[in-house]
Amino acid sequence: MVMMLKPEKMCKVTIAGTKSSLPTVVNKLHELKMLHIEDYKKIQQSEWLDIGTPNEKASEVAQKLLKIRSIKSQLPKVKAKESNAKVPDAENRILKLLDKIKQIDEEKNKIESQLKEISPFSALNLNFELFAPYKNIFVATGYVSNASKLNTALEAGINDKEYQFYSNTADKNKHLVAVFAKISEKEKVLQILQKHSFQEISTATASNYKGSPKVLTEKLQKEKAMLENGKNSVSVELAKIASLSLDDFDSEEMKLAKEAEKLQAPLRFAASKNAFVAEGWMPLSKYGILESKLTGISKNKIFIEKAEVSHEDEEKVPISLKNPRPSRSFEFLIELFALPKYQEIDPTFLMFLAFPLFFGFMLGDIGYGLVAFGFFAYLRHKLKDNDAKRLINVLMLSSLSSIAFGVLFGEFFGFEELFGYVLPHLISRAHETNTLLTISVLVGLVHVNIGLLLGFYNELHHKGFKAAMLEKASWMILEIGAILWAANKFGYFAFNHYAAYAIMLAAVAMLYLGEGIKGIFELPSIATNILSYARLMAVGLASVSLAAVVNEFAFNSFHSGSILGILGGTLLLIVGHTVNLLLGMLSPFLHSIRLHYVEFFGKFFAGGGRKYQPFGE
Amino acid sequence: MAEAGLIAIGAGLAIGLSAIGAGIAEKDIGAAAVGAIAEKPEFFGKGLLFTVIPETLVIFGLVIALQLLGLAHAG
Repeated sequence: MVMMLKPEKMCKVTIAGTKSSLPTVVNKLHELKMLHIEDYKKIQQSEWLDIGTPNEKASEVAQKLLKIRSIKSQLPKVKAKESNAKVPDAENRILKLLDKIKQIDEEKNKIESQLKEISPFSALNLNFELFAPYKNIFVATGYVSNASKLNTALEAGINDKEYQFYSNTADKNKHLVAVFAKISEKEKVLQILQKHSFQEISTATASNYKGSPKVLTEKLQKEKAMLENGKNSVSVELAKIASLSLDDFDSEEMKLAKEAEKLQAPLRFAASKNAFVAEGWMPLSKYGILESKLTGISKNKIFIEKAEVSHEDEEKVPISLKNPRPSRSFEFLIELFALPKYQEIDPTFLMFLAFPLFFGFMLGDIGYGLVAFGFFAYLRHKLKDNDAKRLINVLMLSSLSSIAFGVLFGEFFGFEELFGYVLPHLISRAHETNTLLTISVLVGLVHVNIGLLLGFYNELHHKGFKAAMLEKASWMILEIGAILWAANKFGYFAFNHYAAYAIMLAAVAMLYLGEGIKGIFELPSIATNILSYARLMAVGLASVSLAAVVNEFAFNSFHSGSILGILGGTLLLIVGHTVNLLLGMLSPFLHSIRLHYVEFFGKFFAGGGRKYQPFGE
Repeated sequence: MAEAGLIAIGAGLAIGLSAIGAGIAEKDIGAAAVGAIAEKPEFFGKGLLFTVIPETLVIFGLVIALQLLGLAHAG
């Protein structure tokens, strides 16, 4: 039955041979891309098999790979350009250019630190020699909060006003000052300076320079500009070479990576002095091809056999999903959650059926569905990533479903009638909310119970009939009891309510036997899981209401008649519907996924399988 | 008439407060789950399941609110 799909059947493969046939075996395995290698781990020291040694060329290839990867990481971000001619010796030229850029940067830094050093001197516009230590003159250079106040204080304080005062008041917060006074006045000057919150700066570096600081600053700035120009031209050349060689680097890297993988494969095998043993998993259906190709190429000098997956191995077997073609994109959603364990049911196909229905039910608008479909079709063109492509496929199918539900609900961008002509519909979402609520809850009931049935099947295979009955069937019996009790209470048909209580009690007892006390705590969860599906109605209602509100405001704006009204109305329509569309693409997606992952999978799916990654891919 | 208004307020409080409670509960669980998934991506399913366990609180609130609204209609 198509609902009971399971991951692909695997078998365990053992290959043994002499070391001389190891390279041919590795190359063929890499080419076939079928074997998922189980790395050999030496568990006990006494075992006489160790891991193999890599081929001699492995370290050489690894070094080349490292060099290319480091060059790629240092390149500026450029777009690859098509070129017919390969740039000669691209790697070394690029390394030289990168070195040059580093040199230029170093020199620039030196110049900038010099400029910083001489900035106070150029701010005061005093030659460097004036700051050399004097025999009879005392110099104080530094920052005060107010230079003119300081000057007045010095004038008043120093005898005969014998001092020289220079200042630069460009910075409002800090005024740079230099005071030259007689050595005899040193104490007095220092006292006055202290009163003006003087912060001294060292002038020792002045001895490194000569002449006017302004001239020196100009010279340094010119040097800096020249260096910048040089750097720019080097960068331009680097970018040119980079964009021409990027494709070559990429393909070279891929080639080297494949080589490295092949040369290092022996590390994953068990080996003795003259022989090797490789173990792995592969799909049972392809074993025949592997066996014939390997025995053919190694001229019967190797030993190869297959074994069935034993019960203990089931935890380790890699999982390869096998689904009918249309539902393959949905495997992305399964991988996002967890891959199923080896003998579990693979829910991809069921998700393929249910997910677009939930999405369409919540978005349910012809206009939005069309815009969404167009948008995703355009994205499909532009994106290359495999995962993104699968997701886009899922979304495109869901938008088609939205269009179908839009026809069912008779909605077009929130309008229920166009130009006076009421759109034909089966149910009107805005007006028949109770019907929709009932439908949503019924959908929940069906979906959750399908989950319980699948869980029953899983447990049946895994733990046997009794466990399956106690853990999964107990929920269904509980539901039956509850429905019978409710039917009796609300007058649908007569059923002895004591009998209904007895059925429910029996179910609770079965659950306790099956799952213990934690099962009892989970009792309300069946009700909450089913009611959780009411969000199908809720999210849909929110989307419709928002669209209706936007439409109404826009039309009020149109009817006001003025140009401003019409412009404002159109703007409101566009912005409002765009926002609603974005919400309408995100929200139903999220909620449909959540309903699957939590409410549906929670009933039967354990997950935890690891992905099948064959050697060579 | 005033009675219907009070009942409506009661229904609003029932669902609103229980939603706040669920939000407070799921906030820390969600943060821990995201941290665990960052370390071990296989934990995604269990993490999501743990995060939404407090939804039961909201459903209880919803049931009470609907009962109350039924009362308002009948009265």
